[in-house]
Amino acid sequence: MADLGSIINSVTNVSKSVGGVFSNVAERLNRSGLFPGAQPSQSLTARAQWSVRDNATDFRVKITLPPEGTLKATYFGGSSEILAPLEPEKGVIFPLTPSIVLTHSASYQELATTHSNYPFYAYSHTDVPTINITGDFPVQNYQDAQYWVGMVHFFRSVTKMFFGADNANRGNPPPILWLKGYGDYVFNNVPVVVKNFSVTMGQDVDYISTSQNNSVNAVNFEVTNKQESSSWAPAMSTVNLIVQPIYSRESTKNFSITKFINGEISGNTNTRGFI
Amino acid sequence: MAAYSQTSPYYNTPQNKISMDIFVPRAITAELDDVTYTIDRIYAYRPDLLSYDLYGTPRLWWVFAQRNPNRIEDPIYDFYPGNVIQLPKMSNLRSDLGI
Repeated sequence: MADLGSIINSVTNVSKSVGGVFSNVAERLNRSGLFPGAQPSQSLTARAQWSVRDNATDFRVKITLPPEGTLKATYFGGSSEILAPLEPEKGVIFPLTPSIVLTHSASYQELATTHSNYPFYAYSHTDVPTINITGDFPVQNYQDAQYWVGMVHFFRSVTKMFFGADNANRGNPPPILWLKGYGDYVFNNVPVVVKNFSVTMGQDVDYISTSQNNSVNAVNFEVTNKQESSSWAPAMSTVNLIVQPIYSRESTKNFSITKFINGEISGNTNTRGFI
Repeated sequence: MAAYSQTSPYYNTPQNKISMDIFVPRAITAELDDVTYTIDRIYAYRPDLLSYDLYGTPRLWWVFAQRNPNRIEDPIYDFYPGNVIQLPKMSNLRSDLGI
């Protein structure tokens, strides 16, 4: 009569051999890219597709030039290809959801009268301090790298004043941009200036080469007009922006607290959004 | 003579008491979405192994030659690495061969 130990050993050996057979089959099929029964892979026939987005449903965070005015021609009207990837939106879209810190503050001056237990507070002013936006910027292919290079150059450009005899806007400060994101009543056409732009280019990531003159087929993503690589973009970087909401004296004349409370001047009618 | 099983290439071939008649091939359905496979070293000259892995039995080793008469003349030695063939689906084999 077989003892318990030998029975367990034999069962273990059988399970090992059966498991080995199945794992070998799976391994061979996997290495050959085949599926049991010679069934075609579902992934071969599936096609990824972006969901439909328009201005009403696109809630991604963007920083763009204002739609009116001549700034678009200055930044995107030239023959340079550097900003060409940003041309459709006339600005930068954060590819991943960024982290945004938004603050609203009201200042009160403390009036500490003599021999009083409670100081009085006199309202001074309300302020919308800087907005801190931090977002990851992944780069996975040629097209992403072109966009990354364009993004860096765009933010470099919008932190500089108009200078140079060949520019019609010379003497003007850096442009006011529009911050958009998360739909109505959140960031809807908020006029901002970029006070600080920083990007972290890590040492522990790959860098992807690109050339701004190359074009990429939108259907099969093949690179056409391929030229010598001229720029390298990190596969992952962190972009940090500090933007300051800014309203001109003229536009603040149209401010009304009643309209603001009712959401009528939050930028939902293609006007500057008060926050 | 003994009868051939349904997984045999000779199942449809008539036979008398002492010999087989002229070979009658067994048709296998070809579909547009049949998987295109470039034979690699794992299955080189081993249609039986590929049959076992795909269909669970080595007895269907001959179906690859039957499905790809333009690519495989010798079922064994034309099963060389780099040869591009079409793989019949198990569902079609079931209906075609009655297995």
